[in-house]
Formats: sequence, C-alpha cells, structure tokens
Amino acid sequence: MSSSSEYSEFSSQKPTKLSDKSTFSHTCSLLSQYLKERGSFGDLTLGMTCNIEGSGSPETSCQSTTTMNLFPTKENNVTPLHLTAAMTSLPRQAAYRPHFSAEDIPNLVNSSEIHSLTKEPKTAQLTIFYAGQVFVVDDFPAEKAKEIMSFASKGNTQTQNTSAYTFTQSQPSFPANLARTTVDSIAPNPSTVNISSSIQDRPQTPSGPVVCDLPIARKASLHRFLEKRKDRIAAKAPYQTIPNKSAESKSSWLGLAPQSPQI
Amino acid sequence: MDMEDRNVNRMSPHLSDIVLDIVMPYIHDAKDRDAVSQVCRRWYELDSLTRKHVTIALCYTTTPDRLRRRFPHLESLKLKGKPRAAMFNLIPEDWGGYVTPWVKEIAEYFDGLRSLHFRRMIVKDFDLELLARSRGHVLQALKLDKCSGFSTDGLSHIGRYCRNLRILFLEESQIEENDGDWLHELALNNTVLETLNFYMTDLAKVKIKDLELIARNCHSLATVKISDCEILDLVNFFRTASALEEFCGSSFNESPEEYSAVSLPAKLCRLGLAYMGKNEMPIVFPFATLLKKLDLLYALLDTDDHCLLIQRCPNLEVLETRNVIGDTGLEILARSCKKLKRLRIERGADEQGMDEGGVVSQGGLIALSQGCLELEYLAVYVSDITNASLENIGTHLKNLCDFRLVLLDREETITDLPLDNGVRALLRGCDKLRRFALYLRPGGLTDVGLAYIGRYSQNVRWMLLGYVGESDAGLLEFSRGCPSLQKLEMRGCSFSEYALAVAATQLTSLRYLWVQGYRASQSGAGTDLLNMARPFWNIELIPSRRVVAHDQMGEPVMIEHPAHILAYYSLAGQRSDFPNTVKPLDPATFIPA
Repeated sequence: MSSSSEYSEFSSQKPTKLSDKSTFSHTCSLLSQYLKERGSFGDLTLGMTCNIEGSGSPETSCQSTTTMNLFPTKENNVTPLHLTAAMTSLPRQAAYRPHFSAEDIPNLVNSSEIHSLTKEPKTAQLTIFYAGQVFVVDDFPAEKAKEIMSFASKGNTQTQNTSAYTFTQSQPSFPANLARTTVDSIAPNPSTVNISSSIQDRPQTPSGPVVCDLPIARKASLHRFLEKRKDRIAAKAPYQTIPNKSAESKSSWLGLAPQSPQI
Repeated sequence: MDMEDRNVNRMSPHLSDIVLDIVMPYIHDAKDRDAVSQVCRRWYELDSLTRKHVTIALCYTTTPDRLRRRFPHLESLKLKGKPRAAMFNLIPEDWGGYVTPWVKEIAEYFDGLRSLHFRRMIVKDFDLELLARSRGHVLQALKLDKCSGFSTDGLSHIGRYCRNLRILFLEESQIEENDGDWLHELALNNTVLETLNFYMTDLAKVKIKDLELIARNCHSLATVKISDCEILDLVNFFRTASALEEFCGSSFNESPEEYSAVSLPAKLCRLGLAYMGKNEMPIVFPFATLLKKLDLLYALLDTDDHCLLIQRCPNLEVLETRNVIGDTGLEILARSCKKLKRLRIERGADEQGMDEGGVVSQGGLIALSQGCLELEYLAVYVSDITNASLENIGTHLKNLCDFRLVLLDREETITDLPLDNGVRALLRGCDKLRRFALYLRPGGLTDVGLAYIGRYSQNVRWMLLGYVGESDAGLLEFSRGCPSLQKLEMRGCSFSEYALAVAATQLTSLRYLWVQGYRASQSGAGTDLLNMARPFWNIELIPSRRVVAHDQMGEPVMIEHPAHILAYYSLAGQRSDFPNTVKPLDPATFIPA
C-alpha cells in the first residue's frame, strides 16, 4: 500500500530548508581545491570518532547530528574500521564502482597497517554528504578532516539561530548518486542515537491522565447502512397490511410497528 | 576476471544504458524501482524517465511540481489525502487533502496520464471540469474513492469529455446530487466503459434508461456497482449487460415473490445485493457455484441464511459480511470454501436483536484457520477471543499477509486475556504479514505482548494498535523492533507524548504516525512531542473538540473527540491549508503554553 515514490524522494532530492548551503559548499570546494594540491595521509578515522564521541549531552546532540550527517554511517558506536569501510566503498562518481570494494578493506586496515598509518602521513579519500550533494576529495589529511568538522559545527550553530533544524540527517540527506545499499541497509537511523541519549538527559514534563473510553468507531459506510436499515423498517411497517414474517420480526425488534405493541 | 569486468563496466557506461533500457521496463514493483533509483545518478534518471506509476500515501508529503520534475512521464497516479480515521468519521471534513493543486499540474504537464486515483480527498467541481477538458481524451481510469466536495455537475464534465474512460469509480464518495445528467452524458459519449461504480453513494436520480444504454453500447462492461436502485427496474439492464461479471448494490423494496422472475447475467461471479433478505436469496442460488466474491455487508441475512448461502458457494475466494455470520457461519465457511483468500467480517448493529445470533469468537476463528488454508487477508470483529485461537492462525494460515482483529466491547468478560502469547505465536507463524491491526481493550495485551509485536513483526509495514500495552516502557520496547514499519496508527493506548516521540524516532522505517487517545503533557499539549521534531518531519495536532452526533434514537448529542496527532515525513514543508481544527506543531516557533 505504502510503497511509493516519496520514499525515494527523501533520499534523492535536495532538501530545501537550508539557509547557509551556498556558504558552506563554497567553503568546502575551496577547501577541497586547496587540499588536492597537498598530499598527506593521516588517521582520519580517529579524528572522526573523536567528534562523534563528543555527542550525548542535550546541548551537543544537534552538533553530533551534524557530525554524522557528514559521514552517514549512522552508528554512534561505529568503529574506525566501519567508518573507513563505508567511506572507501562509496562510489566516487555516480555511475561507477568504488575504488575499493568490500574485499579490499581487510587488507587496507589490518592492525599493522593502522599502526603505520598513524605514524606515516598518507592520504585517504574523503566523502562529504551535505545539502543533498556529495563532495569527494582525494588525498585528504586527517587534521584537515578535523578542520572541516569544526567548519561544519560552526555552520550549524549559526543556522540554529534562525531555524531550529537546518542540518539534514537520516534519509532526507542522502543524495541520489549514493550507492545507498552500502550504507543504509546495514545502519539504523542516526536519530535513534540522538534520542536515546536524550532520554536520560531531557526530563519529560508530567503527563495528563489517559484519555480513555474512546468508543470503537464504526466504518462510515456501515454506519450509513445501519441507519438506512432502521429507517426502512420504520417506514415499511405501517403499510404492511399482512406483514410478512421477516418484516414483522424486524419491526418488533425496535418496537416501532404501530399495530404490534406486543407488550 | 572480476577486476576486468569491473573495468569494462567503468569504461563503457553506454553499454550499461542499453542493457538498462531493456531491463527497466520490466521493473514494476515500487520497492524495486525505489532501490534502482538509489544506485547512482544515471539509474535515478532512467527511473525518473520510465516510471509509469506512483502512489503517494499522503498528498502533503511532496508537491505536484516535485512529482512532475521527478516523474514527467507518469501514466498512473494514486494520491491519498485524509488519514484512514476519516473512514470512521473521526477526522474533520475540512481537514484537507485538496486535489486542486494536483489537478492543475496534471492538466498542464502530465500529458501521458491515463489513470488517476484520488482516495479520501476533497474534489471540487472545477477540478473535475479542468481534468475533463484537459485530459478527458486520454483518461482511461478515474477513481474518486471516498472523496467529497463535488456534485453531479462536476461528473457531467467527466461524462461529456472522457470518451475513453474505462473505469469510473465513485464508491463511498459523498456527492451532492443535482440531477442524473452525468450518467446520461456518459451513456451518450462512451462505448468502452468496463467498470462503473457508484456503490454506497446517495445518488438516487440516475435513470435506469441510461444504465441500459451503457450496457448496450459498452460491450466490455464487466463491473457495475450502483446505489440503492430497485432491482425490479434493472431486469432489462441485466438482460443487456451480458458481459457482466460483477454486480453490487440495488435494493429490494417489493414483496419477495416479485423477485422470482429476476434473472441475472450468466457470467456473474462477484455479487453484492444490498438489502437482500432470506426470501430473495434464492435468486442467487442458480449460479452460486460460480461465485468467487460475495459481498453481504449490506444484506439483511441472519446467521442461518449465511449458512444456507455459503454452503452453495464452493468456489468462493472473497467474502465480506458482518459479524451476523456468527461462529456457525464460519464453521460452514471453513468446511465449504477451501479457496477462500480474503475474509472481512465487519461489526454489525449493536442494538439488541438487530443482528441476531451474530457472535464471532475463538470458535469461529479456530474453525476458519483449520479449514481455509489459503487465506491471505483476514479482518474480523470478535466478541470473545483466546490465545489458542490466535495460535491456531499462526500454525495454519501461512499465506496470511494482512490480519486485523478488533475485540468488541459488548461483552464484560473475555475468556482469555491478555493475548501476549497468542499474538506472539500468530506473528511468528505468519511471517508474510505486511499489515497488522490489533484493537483490544485495557488488559488485552501487556507490555510484554507489545514487545513481542515489536520483535516478531519483521515484515509488517502498516500497523494499527488500539488499547494495547500498559505503560511507556512497553511502547519503547516495541519501538526497538518493527524494522519495516512505515505507517503506525494508535488509538486509546496509555502512552505519554514523550514516549510517542521517542518511539517515533526509534522506529527506523517509520514515515507516518497517527495517534488518538494518549497522555498529553501537562505543560501544554505538544510540548513533549517536540522530542520527535527533526528535519522534514511534519507534526500536526487536531486538538480535542466537541462534535454533534446522533444517538441511537436519532437525537443530536455532543460527543467529545479527544486530540489526534499526525506526523509524517514531507519534502514539501509544513502545509499551508490548515483548517481551524488542525494546528501545526512547529518546533521553530513553538512556545509552550
């Protein structure tokens, strides 16, 4: 029944509520141009987990949403390995296969390599999802990843003043040219994370009494029929000179038949 | 090898286009299309260009303009308006769901649109006129399904301009009736009609001559469902409509012996004669063995009559009736109708004696689940229930994909509550379930049972819960499951706004939530609901209101309608056509009272 297109629209259309989109994307492209000329690799994933771990208190829950928007792997407890896997397996250009397939990942991040990665400056590809767009930056160093995070959080606090919700999260923020199967099918909604953390933090206001005693509603069509049936019986009864069996019994149910008071 | 393939793929996108062009037309399922459109930009575009049908489950989730940009070549559109509760008179008539902006877009841009289905929407005569004038020549199907706001004048335009119309469906719409000209126009201009349906409308001014003319001109006329016309006046129509397979409606107003001469078309296999009583029933007997569908919702049959008729219908696949069928009727059904796929048992009259003997309970359900193994759809109002009966359903009805159970409030004591274990067994057994409704009473299902629903309803997309669970904890546990749940409706449960908000955000697939009967936050209605606020998530309230209704004696009485919550994903932002009865809950501007 509810299979429909609007679902996919959420994932593939540009959100419209953004006020600082241009500023931010401009910043991003400048940043990416600048960074493309550089070339160093770092523990990008560590940078990201740091930020994510910062979420949890109600004050920062919005901020953490932002963080996860940029890297929608959608899990608070996501490990660096997962993040790397999700990022590298994202397609760089819409129609083409990713640079790394899932099978490549284990090789890429076995423990010894991770160790060396943190020491030797290398580069990784960075993919940013923002405002329905995907920014792909090759050879992205870790400290710059942190920088971009802070850009993002600044942008968020600015826009929070004008509108409560600016940064997209969850399904609406996925652009069409994202191979969503790689990410979405395995990951739960990020909002889960935010809300469950806020369960403890935000005291709920006391609730009123339960509204009870809602009568079971009847379908309008059936209701109309039953009303009509009543009218029929009432209307028919007086004119029945020799009431047939069914009419007689029906009218006596309601006690509406004038010639048969039968008390 | 794998590597080479990958390179080829990357180097020759055109090849893949050719392949896609060939494959794409064979992908019809909306979910598959959805997945295809998310693979990459190119696939998204190809899907956009080739998508033929779209269903929009709520018209406020997107805009006409966006629909046109995304799917410019649509051939078929289904659009729904008011929440389901509107079918139960729970939603204000002017709630919204206007077709006007959609019709304008369709008139201007969708020149390939052949099929249009509006459900629970408000349609104006000028909408119908615009539609008829702009798309009348190509329109093949028009369904105004439980719609309101238009009159027979609007329908006249349809009759005049839509010469290629094969399906005209007006079932259960509230239509202002000025005259019967619309049917006359249709009869004069159309020769290709296959389905004519104004069943359960109050249209009384149609002329039988026009029905006869349609039967004469339209040789493919297979389905006719009409309002309450005297069946004796239809003798000529029946004689002419030789291709007729489905007939519903009409009425019996004369004495029974008059009807012995009525002969129905030979191919009839789907039938629903309104107001048919015991004495008129024999006109169905001659072709009872052919019957695949029987609609007795509006018949005047008692339990014994049901038994008499049903045992003559061995090929029945669909049965709709009221609970007057009784457990006895269900036992006959289970014994006689092995091909039954769909069964709907509605709630009959409550007044003492009106639907005598009509009690459906665990006994009937057990018989049914052991006898009708092909059942796919089962919706039933029961007066009593046990866990064992639900377990039976779980054990035997492996094809069930839609199960709805309402426990009536007539009986003080119920044999076996709570139903926790029965519900678990049913959900575990019927793993094809896509839709699930459970409407009980306080004490009917504990928090544990509610958690079972969450855990064992893997594939359920739509759910209605009434009077289930005991506390917020049950709802929260429930909301950790239900991975496929897109649409959730709840009524009369004891959950707080806060728990509802948390549940709404925990349910990973949820995109539509309707609630009536909950614990409002004392600091102002809606305060705690804001916890579910997020981008693209619209929240609307219908604050509690008093409406005039009529009691059993027809006297007007004031009825208190408690508040409703409606929340849904939307790309269109907050709608702008709110009536006074509906308040948007906007997190940006919300100031607690």
